[in-house]
Amino acid sequence: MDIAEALGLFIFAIISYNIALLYGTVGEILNEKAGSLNLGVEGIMAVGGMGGYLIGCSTDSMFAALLGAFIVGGLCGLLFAFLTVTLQANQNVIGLTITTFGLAVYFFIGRGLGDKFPKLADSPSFQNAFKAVDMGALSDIPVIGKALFSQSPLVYLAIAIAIVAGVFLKRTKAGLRVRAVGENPGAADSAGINITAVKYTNIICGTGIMGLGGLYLSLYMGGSFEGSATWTNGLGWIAIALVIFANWKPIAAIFGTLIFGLFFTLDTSKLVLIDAMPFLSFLSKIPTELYSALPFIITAIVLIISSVRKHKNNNEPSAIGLNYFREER
Amino acid sequence: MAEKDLTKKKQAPLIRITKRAHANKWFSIGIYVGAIVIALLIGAVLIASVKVDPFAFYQKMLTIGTIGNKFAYKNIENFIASFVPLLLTSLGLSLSFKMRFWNIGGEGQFIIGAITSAALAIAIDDALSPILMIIVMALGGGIAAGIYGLFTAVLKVKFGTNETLMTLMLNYIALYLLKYFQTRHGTDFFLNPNSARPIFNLLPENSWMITIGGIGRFSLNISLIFALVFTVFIYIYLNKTKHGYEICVVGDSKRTAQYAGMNVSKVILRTMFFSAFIIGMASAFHVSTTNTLSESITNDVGWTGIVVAWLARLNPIGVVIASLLISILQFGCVQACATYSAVDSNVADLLQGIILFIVLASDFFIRYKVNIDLSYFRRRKEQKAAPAFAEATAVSEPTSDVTSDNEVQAVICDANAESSDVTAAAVEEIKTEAFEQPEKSETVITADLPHSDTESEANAPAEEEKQDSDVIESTEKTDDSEKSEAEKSDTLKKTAKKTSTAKKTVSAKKETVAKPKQTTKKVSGSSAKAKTGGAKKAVKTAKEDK
Repeated sequence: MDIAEALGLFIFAIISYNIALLYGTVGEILNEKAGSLNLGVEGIMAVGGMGGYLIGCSTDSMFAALLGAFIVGGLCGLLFAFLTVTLQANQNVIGLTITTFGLAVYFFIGRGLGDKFPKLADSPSFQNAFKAVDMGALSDIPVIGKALFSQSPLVYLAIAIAIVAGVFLKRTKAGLRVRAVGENPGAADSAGINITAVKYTNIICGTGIMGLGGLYLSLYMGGSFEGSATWTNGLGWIAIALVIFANWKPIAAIFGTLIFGLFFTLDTSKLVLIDAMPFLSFLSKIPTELYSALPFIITAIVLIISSVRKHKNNNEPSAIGLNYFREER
Repeated sequence: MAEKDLTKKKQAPLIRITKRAHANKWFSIGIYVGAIVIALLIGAVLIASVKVDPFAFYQKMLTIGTIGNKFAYKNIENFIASFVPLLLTSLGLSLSFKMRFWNIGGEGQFIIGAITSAALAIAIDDALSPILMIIVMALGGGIAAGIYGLFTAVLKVKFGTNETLMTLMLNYIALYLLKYFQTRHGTDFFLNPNSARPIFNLLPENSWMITIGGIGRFSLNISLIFALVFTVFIYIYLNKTKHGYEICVVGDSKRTAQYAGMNVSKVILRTMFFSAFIIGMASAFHVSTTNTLSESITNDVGWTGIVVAWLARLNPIGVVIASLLISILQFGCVQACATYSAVDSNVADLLQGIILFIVLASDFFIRYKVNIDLSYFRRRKEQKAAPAFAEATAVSEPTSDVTSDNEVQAVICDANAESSDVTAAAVEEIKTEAFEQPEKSETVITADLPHSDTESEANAPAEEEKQDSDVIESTEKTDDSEKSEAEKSDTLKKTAKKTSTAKKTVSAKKETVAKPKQTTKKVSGSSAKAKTGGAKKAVKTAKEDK
């Protein structure tokens, strides 16, 4: 295998595996920007993905699958929003419970009832809708052609969502309101912003996007419920880390996904790289665990540095994790 | 958007939430029982859906598989082995939660404690007697975990680093460190030298947990006794000592603690160390009971402990009950699922989730009282029939700097625009006053007064819908359906006084257009408007009366 081919495969793998991370991250950014620290990403991605996948298989329709994943994810968000916004329950506890609850639902339905649902192989139009696209000449560009222009449509959807979310938060009036709610809900309330509506909308849209990420993973994994781990397999927690790494900016999250993805993919496909480029043989000496831990270590360092510097560009919402109750201002 | 909001908020709300002075104890207990029953019912439906008899399943689960089992004693021993770490971890977590320090790093602290205590056991080997060995392991594991927890606390105190996110990251760093020790790449210190595959070695015999032989073949793990004694100790620590009091004050309000002369940083550092220390100790006991490390050494106690601490409302005695309940659910489920393989063993997590959702949801109804005002619909209907008065208060859309980076500033901008709306609306109202019928506004005042004094400002009723329903309410309050004219004029005089202040408010509002900073601290614009509007009218009627 020559260098160009190996690199091309490598970059392709970075994007194709880790793009689900982008869905989770953008969803979580929408949550956190409205002041809600939702620790249920892992569970919501698992349940949303399962919901979308099963609906897609039974209806054999791409749109039904996308809508299903969004709605199932959004329902988890509705539960989170109802408990934390309306009923003022603690966000950390509810988020963590949604994770354990979501994973339990995933296992219960996936392992218990999974055999009774139609299989992915029996749903040709659903399966083909998410096959890699071919952009002709563009896809034939060496090294980056296949990686950038021959991915599943869901990859492009993720990037589109991230850009839209970034523009929405930064450039629109509604986005400004969302940020205001995340920064200082009391002031936002006096300014006449409907805090409850903003939070509900953001949480539900954010969790819906997480559900789409789960759907992508289900297709990436071939829709098999076998194995002791869920499709998400800890990706939800990495998404929470990536939110910090990306400084709460959806567009920066696209690049963050690539950087985090680089570590994971280096671990899984280092042998291919070494085969093509022998000077990289030191990669195999680095323990696997370090690759897995690197995103968390980097995020911890970013978190420390940003809090030490207290820089103006630190985008962490001030009211993150705090519930807003009007009478307790 | 701005006009819409204003007119909307003029309505007295359909649902009004007020704080309860005292929580009803029996109500709370009822909710807990109800939550468990509902969870079990939902679980029964799920279990029946995979064609397993739910009663048989629950019988097996709730008796943790002891009935009709020759090795029942073994089940109880294993149950205790899984119960003790959960109890101690939940205790440790509840300590930091009490201080509103969101230590969700129980997993990481548990792992660090386990690694350290296992390292100590291997290093010391048989140089110490079993009792001393366990004490050394517990202290070592506790201190290592404590330092790991302290790291986050120091960052929080010094730089204000978000502790939730930080402890979350540290969880995974610890987990991968543990995984690293189970590879041939790293140190072979913890591994079995006789095995080609990297597996954790059995710890030396002196580090094994001491058990007391008792009834039949059953032998009691002494860590259970220790854990229960320790719970009482924590209870006393939290409720009867100065430290415990400081934790509560810091948890309620850091500022209050500062004014009271407490060293808040010191309290946070000390409590966080102690919290993580307990978790580390729990893991040392666990390592000593299982005699080996493993990748799943935590058994998710760090996560489950959060659920338990919350179910117990951070009360040490409650933690014992809640962790017992959750342990039975978890452990019993594994036992029952071994018999009924059609049911997935994660059903315990499902039940646990449902219980917590219900308990946390109803927690709101324990703390707050929800008043539903059904007259809302009638008033709304009436308002729809009459032309909307508020249309007169048409104002321009607030303009704010959308591209501004600084959110807080933007909020102020918004608030500023909004407040100019309020002022404009108030002015408009004064102008349109002439259209109002004096008789109607008289009833308004009598109804308005007791209200604006007693109700919270956010709910201050506005003029338009100050009609029959509220009059009824206020007359009921005074228990006097026929008010004498004298009384009325008395109240009106009072209102006149109020008006002068109200006038000031209006002028102040006008000033705030120039000084945006003030508006952010003011009460919500709508209520201010309602007040001014009502007060203005009061002036008018007071004059007429005279």
